[in-house]
Amino acid sequence: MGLREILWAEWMAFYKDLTRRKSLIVSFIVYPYILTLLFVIMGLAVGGLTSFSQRFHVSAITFFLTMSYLMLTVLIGADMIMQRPSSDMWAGTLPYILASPAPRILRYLAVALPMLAPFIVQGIICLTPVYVYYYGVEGAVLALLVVFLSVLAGLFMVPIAMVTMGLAYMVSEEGWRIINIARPLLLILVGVYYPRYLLPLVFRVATMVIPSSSIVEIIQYMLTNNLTMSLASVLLGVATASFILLLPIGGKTVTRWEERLRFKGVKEY
Amino acid sequence: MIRSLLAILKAYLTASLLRNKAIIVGVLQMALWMTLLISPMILFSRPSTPREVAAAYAFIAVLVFMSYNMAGWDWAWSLRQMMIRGILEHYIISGRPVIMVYVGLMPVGLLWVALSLAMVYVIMAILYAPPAIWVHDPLALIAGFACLLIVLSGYSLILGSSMLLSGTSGPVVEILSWILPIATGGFTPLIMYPEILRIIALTTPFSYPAELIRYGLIGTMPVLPTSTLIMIGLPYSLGFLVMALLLLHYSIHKIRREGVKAIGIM
Repeated sequence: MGLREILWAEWMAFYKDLTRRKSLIVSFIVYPYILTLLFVIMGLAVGGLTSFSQRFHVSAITFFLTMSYLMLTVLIGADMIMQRPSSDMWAGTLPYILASPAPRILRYLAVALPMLAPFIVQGIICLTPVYVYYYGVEGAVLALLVVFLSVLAGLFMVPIAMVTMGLAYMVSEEGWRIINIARPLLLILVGVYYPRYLLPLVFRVATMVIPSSSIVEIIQYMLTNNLTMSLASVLLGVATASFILLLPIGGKTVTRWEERLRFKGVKEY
Repeated sequence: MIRSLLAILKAYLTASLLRNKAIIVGVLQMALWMTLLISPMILFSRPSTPREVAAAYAFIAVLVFMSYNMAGWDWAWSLRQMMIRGILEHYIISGRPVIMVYVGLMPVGLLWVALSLAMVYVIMAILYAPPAIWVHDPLALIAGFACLLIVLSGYSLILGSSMLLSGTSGPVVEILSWILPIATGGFTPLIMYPEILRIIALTTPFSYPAELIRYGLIGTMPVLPTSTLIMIGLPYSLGFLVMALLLLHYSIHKIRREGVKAIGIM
């Protein structure tokens, strides 16, 4: 079974569910705006939007809209994989997954890809009008670039999500409890809302293990007009290298967890 | 009746706080989410605004937000969980009123919010500054919390009833939990809103508790005199609750006639 077959199966399962529930489609579009509103309103109470734009050379609305969209993309890239064992267990499909001969890395890439596809449309719908308002026609190109990088950041979460999921379920049968802690921790380390370049150097180096954090940093530098070609190349290189290095580790971790599960048996609910 | 209530309370207390160190996992999880959401505040800070005051505003915003989340996700969502697991029909047949599930759940939800707020205070104190909260006006504070509890009960009953009537899904609850506090002055004093938004917020029962609590805790001048806020807020909240109870009664009556709506997983 190759990537094409698994991808098609995941694609159909996801899209049938998405089109069945219209409220989910609405929430896709509305969410980045709601989160932006939250930060902007809280920011108004704390200090004001001017102080933000003077400090970072970007409007708070553009920054937080982009970061909220990015946060959702990164979250979905990781979450759909991390919560998979739990939903498979509840649906009763976990034994079939264990019996499947499909390569695990391909399977989890196929889980993430259909989930990330609507984010391309979501990004274009959410970001383009705001970017065009702030940057003119060039803003449309910038929005497309941000959407591409964001979806890449979401995809680059796959290996770290596989490692986290595998370890969590190896440690405890109720691995979802650990995943509930790992989810916000990953988002903090990725630096979506609080840029990692503002963190002390030690933390910054530590976050380089997560491939998506470098992509997020590229977008943040891009928005604040601090991105140079060489910096972008270095960050993209670090992200790609850590993604390639982590992918087999993720595959191994998942395989180890599945081996243990085959030995112990799957719990039924 | 009391025994049933205690049984519900004990069941939820065990499941959400005690089983498998749920309280530790829950508080840790909450702390991390709050760190993620509160840390961007620092990016807005202005040297002229005392950090403690800014932190106090954010603290009240978190309080209101978490209260709505609790009413939506803990109280109202429990009905949906009962539907998903096929328990609701059995519960209705047992002859116990559905409202008892809410009453049994409330102390657990309130305990969670209290624990989480303590955690948020500590995180704010470490990351930014300790919020400058003190009891500025005890009467306004008590009235504010009373209004908040009544409004939240009404809100969760309406949300729960709508789930029973239409099978409302997770995204709707999620969006409502975000929009309501933003639109009704939960996060920012109404005085800072444009006039049209201020008027819209005041037509809902949600704005009154937020204004009263903010005045009671940090002394922010409300958009109306506190006596007026109490005079309008309390009866309005009670009316809202009565309306919610009637809606719940109607939705249970409808379920008895037509059966439970089909639902999805999320």
